[in-house]
Amino acid sequence: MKLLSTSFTRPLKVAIITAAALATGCAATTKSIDPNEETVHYDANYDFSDKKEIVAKLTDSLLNTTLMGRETAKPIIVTYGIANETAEHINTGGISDDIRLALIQAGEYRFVNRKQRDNALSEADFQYAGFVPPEQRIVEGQQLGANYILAGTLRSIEKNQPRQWRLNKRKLVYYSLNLEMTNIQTGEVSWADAVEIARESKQPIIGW
Amino acid sequence: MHRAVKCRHAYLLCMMILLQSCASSGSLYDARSQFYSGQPQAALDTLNNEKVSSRNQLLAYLDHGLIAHTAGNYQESIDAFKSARELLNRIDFIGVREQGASLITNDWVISYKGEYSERLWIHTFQMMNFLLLNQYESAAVEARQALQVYAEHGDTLKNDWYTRALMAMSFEQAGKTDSAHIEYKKLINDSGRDTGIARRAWQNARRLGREQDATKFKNLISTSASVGDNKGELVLFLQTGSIPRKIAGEIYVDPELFASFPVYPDIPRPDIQFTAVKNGETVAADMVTTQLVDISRSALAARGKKIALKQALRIAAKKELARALEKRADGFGGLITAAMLITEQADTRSWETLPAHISMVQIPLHEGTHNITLQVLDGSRVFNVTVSNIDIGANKVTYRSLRLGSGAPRLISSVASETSKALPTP
Repeated sequence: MKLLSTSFTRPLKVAIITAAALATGCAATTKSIDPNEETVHYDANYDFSDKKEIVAKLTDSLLNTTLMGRETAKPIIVTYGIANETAEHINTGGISDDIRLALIQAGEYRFVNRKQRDNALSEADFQYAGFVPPEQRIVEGQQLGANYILAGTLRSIEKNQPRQWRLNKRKLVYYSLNLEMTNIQTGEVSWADAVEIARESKQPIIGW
Repeated sequence: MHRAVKCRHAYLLCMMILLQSCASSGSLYDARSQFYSGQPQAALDTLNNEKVSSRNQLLAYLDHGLIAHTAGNYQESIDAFKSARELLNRIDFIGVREQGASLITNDWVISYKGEYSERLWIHTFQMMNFLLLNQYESAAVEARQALQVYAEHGDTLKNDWYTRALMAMSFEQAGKTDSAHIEYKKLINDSGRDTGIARRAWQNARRLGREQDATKFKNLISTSASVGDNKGELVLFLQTGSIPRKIAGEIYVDPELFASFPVYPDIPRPDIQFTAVKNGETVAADMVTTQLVDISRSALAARGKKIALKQALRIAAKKELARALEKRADGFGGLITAAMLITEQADTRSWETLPAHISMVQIPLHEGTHNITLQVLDGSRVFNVTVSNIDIGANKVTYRSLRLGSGAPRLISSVASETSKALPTP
């Protein structure tokens, strides 16, 4: 019995320890990143650092422009969003919202809220349906009329390294965001600017 | 017998058993059974709550996406397919540990990465999901991702007329008529005939003012379906039957050693035929269809060289190991050789919840609410499906999706009451 145990116990122990070591992965970790200080890119794809860069450049451009008669009155803008023409599911609403936020905070432009129009209408209907005292009702016909439409397009071109013997897969991605301000009365494009980002990433073909 | 040698043998045997033991996933099997017995919600619950082996995680996501789509839970389907894409990006490398283990066992120990065709169909179902939810820009994003798959594996996947038509349609719906035109034109040039999209291609070319192409496409139109007079259109994503499973092919190298490899069975299956009926009268329609197993077979063949090379390496490794063990007369040698023989199994994993055929039926209809009956001939069976309360707007496309036919899950009551009712006729 003892012979059996000594001849099999050690090989089994070695096998169990090896299997346990193989089965154990690296421990998961989490750390906070300050989006205002660090630029983080895990791969070539669009990420929050890109959004930050795009918003900062286009906001600067809009705040420094002398077009659109800004000297006389604050232009009133309605945003029509940014079309996503890339091969990634990117929420471009985040870009237009951040640009609007920065411009409002700078106090140089005024915005009308297109997304809340139906809700505003519904609220006005409610007030005039007899539930709200007349003196507390909003006065109809006082909505701001926009002078300009803010809209844009986000595009990307992606190029993968051709198939060949290699240790890494390389991927090149180019993004461009074109933003423009269209004068609603004349149809003229009164202001336009673009931000371009190009990046390369490598991914190992062989791993553990 | 040296203790060190025994130690090595015991280690090898334990490793083979350990690696093999995680190969199958009971929960995946359960979910598929529930789906095919007409319980999609139970199948979704199983996939949500039961653990699936990490090696089969991709299959779990693929099945989840497809079952949720069939059940009409399009957002859930989108999320599952998104997870599948993210997983594919994470595991898209050659894992030394898994590959090493597979050399002494089989390919079941490797994380399933999907055939090229299955990777493409993630985007196919995503395009359908987004179109059904009227999210046209997102459908176009998926079409661009599908184009990237075509850029790498175009030769293998080019005969998937359905996905290619869907890509063009997604671009068209997102207002990218130029991109749609390019895809329609490529498709028609590759097929050389009307695969069911010549009318769409003609209309799109006219919209763009490409008169020469428009004339060429018009001459190919093979049906009388027309969308003039401010008509709208019903586009029905019709999935019939179920895709055949991969089976194991075997070649004996010697009486004690053989190579096992995956193949698709060569079972002839006729194309489906359909008739659309409204108020007792036949309605003109176009249909583009792909028999999925043809594309899967082609994708598997494209991996043939890799599979053969791997098999050769595995046979060499196992033969060498068996020869070395034969010299040891401690009983372990025989056990390990037997284990090697038993573990020689073809990796027949695949996305088994896919349909056999996938078709896009395009029926021009006047503005208003309609009930349309489809008579679908799938093999020797005829199915009558009534799609009710279809709201059609002028110059608008209304999308519906349904699955029926031989081998398909029973139609789901919640979907049936809204869109369809399948009555298999004897």
